[in-house]
Amino acid sequence: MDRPPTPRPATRLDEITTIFQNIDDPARFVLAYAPAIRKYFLAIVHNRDDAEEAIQDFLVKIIQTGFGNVQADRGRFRDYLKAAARNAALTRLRQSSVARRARARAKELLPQSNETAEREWCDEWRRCVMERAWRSLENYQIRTRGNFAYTALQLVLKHQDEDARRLAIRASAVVRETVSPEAFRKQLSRARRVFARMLLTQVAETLQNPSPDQVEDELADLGLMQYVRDFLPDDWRTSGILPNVE
Amino acid sequence: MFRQIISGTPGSHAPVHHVGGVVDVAGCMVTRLGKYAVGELIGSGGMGTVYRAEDTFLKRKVAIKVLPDSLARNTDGIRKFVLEARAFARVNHPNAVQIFEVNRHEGICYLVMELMPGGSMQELLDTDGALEWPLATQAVLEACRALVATHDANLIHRDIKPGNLMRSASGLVKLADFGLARDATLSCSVNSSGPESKLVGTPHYMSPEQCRGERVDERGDLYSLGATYYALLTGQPPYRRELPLQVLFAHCSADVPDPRDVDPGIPSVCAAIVQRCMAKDPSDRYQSAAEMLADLEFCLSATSPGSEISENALAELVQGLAAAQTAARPGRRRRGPAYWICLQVAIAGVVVGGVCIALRSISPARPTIHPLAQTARPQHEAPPFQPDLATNVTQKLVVPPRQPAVVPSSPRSGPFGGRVTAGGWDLVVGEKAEALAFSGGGSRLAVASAQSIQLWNVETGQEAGDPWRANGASALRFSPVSPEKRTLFAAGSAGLEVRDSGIGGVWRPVGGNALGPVRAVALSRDGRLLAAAVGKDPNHQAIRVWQMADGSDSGAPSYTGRVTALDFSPDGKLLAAATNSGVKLWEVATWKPAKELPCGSPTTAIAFSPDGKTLAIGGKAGAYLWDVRHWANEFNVLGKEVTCLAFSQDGKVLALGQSDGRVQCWDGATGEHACTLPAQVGPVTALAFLPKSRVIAVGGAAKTVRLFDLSKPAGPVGARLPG
Repeated sequence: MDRPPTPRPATRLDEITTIFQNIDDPARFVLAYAPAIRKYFLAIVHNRDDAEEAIQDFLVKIIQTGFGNVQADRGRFRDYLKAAARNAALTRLRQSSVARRARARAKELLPQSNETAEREWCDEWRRCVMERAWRSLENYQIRTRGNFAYTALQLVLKHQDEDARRLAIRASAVVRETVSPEAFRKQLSRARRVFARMLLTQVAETLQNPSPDQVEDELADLGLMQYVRDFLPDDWRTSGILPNVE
Repeated sequence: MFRQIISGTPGSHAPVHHVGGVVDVAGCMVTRLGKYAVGELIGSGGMGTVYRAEDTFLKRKVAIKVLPDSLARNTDGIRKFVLEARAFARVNHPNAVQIFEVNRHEGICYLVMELMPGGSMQELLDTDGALEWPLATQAVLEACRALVATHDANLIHRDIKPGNLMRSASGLVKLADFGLARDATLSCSVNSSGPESKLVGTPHYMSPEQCRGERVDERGDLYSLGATYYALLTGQPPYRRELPLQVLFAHCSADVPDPRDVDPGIPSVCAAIVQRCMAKDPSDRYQSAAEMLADLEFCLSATSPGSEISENALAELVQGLAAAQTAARPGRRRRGPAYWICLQVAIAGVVVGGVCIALRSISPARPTIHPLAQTARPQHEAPPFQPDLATNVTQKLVVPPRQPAVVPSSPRSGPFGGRVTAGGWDLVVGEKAEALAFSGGGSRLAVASAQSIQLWNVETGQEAGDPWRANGASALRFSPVSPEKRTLFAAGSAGLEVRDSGIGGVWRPVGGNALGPVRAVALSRDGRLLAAAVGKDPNHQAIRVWQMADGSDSGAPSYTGRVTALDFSPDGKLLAAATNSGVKLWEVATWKPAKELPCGSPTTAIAFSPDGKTLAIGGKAGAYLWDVRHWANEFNVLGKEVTCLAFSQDGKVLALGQSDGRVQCWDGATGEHACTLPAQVGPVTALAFLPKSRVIAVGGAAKTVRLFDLSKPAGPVGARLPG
């Protein structure tokens, strides 16, 4: 598997780009998935102070070398991050006075497989991906006149026991324009399709080579397939909907 | 004479500056820019260098910001400079640095603004360290006022930090530097022609969403202001790290910092405000600068010497904000399995197990910051009624110690199925609500629209039967004493009708079929009398009064004119009418005029407080409160037209519905502002308080009735204080 190219270190604020198309900007990804990373560190290191130190080491490493030295499979960014996090945690544990006194225990403290940590890592990663998709949908609504896709989907989420007529009235109150039940249904249908595409895009951005198969696998791994399966066009694999498809 | 050149060469990125002048592109010293005599350097940054100067025409000291040569030579740089100036100019507020002029002189672009001789709060921190908490709070409060104005001007500042809080000669704090300001309606910067590709802001004060390069709204500014507050209280930024990435990472994921970890002497209420501001999820923060401002004002007034606000009220504020911090820590809100199931249903439209799973609240109930909050009592138990507002001033905002706010285990308990929150919940009624009334027992809400009246079951939030036909009902009243308090009076273009709101009731006309349109109706508290303003011509109405027992005439005041509202005093001795020229009062026993209260503008709403000591009057100019015992004008709330008003049953809250759709809630006795409820679509058409509670129903042009529970946590979304 190809290693990601060595990124330019981002030491200044203005060097942290927000246009992220591939894995060459680890700083950007690290910030996007910071909660998941922190949670993973806490899950594998347990000691809060050691975890914090390990996090800082990890960030310095990101700045200096990116993920160039990390072995990972499947080209998934979350694997890169996880592997980098584990390395940083292990290094910190070896350096800490506790581990020095019980050097043999360092590996025990950080077993190769830690179910709770793995589960929390996946859960938090999935949550971050969903949040980013929601933010994208919200931005889409703000940028596009006459659409209230984000509002429609949020209303359905919050008022699941209400019919289209009532939801249309709620939407009218939010968007300050009259919305008919039919118009609401149309918006909702569009919202689901747009949200599915945005979710697809977010997942694709976390892969080095986001081929349709890899994207599909990742969606399944993260339990997100159910949100996109029925709402993508039939030709999504070939239509160029994915970013950076090779 | 001039000092040596400090740095750089002409045309370099960093402007070349001398004390007492600016070096232009040719390397020449420039001591005048137009009519301004340029003085010493004050400070410099990426977007310009600031000098002290004097307007030689007006003889006024000013500050001049000069655009660096490198930016002045390209169109984009100049365009950004002008945009910054325009953003500056949009915010016209005593707590925002004023801009006077933007111009160019011999190739030098400059911006003239108010001089702030006190320097910045950052400079104060650098020299003196952490501020005493009252000073820090006052500074943040003043900055928050500026933020209210900034957000009202549809701008997001995006660079709130101690260095951009400047101090005037008198010590007033003003918000400065709108170089990164962004139009709130756009997804990109005022200074950008496209989506942002670089992060902007100052790392130590950037919100998590700003750190990630996402869209920033008003709540991002509030995060930065909270971080600034932390810095002023402790003398250091919230997350001290070596590298910018480490700081940004901390903003995105670390625990919300507690300033008391640095200084245990910082009051809990200050810490609580900081922590609410700095919640990771914007939904867990204050939703508006006005909301934060209300808490800051309450904090300062509650803790100032001689404060009449009790320790209990302050403790409530702290408890509530602390619970908000708990909910917000660490990282984002927790979302349990129910959320994911419901998300699946929402997005995929899947019905699980044959039944749509009702959504549990996905966000924990925000805890209390409400100064008018009641105790955590069972929903239908009345709080203690304290009628004597004069004897113990501290009782006005006192509530007994409450239980710590917790997420309700059964979110569906309470009025309207427990759905009503402080942030508001919409009851979908399907028509514009012209009038609202709760039955005396609190079991029913009557909503009148143009064509019908619908009763709603308060407990469940469901319709209670089919709608009744009604033509243009504009006022509703439930009888206070009828069996089960369910007799309903409806006044409108079709006259005055009454019916039993139970099953089988029919409409019966009051006063005969030829009564004509009725524009105002009132019932005495003892249920004895019914008064109405009748007449086809709205400018020539008469007041009629009937005995409820037998429907006979009970005499009436001798008056003809426009009447928009009526109310009996609680003791039944006075009848008040809102007219074009003010409020007129008559003695009920004799119908002799008792008092006339001129208001200077047409009045549209009146209400006596439940204890009868206060008369609230609403009209075009605002609201007036009168002490009925002494006929003294106690205080006024002027500015926006008041379309309707209502007292809570315990008299502690006076709600004013405004023509701009907002509802202002005030302490009915002291005139202290409590909160602002978010705007309805169009003017507020009706208000009603649910008996024995702080639930208020608000009608407007939208086809919903918005309900708020003022006893529950958190300020309402989008609240704004009067400007």
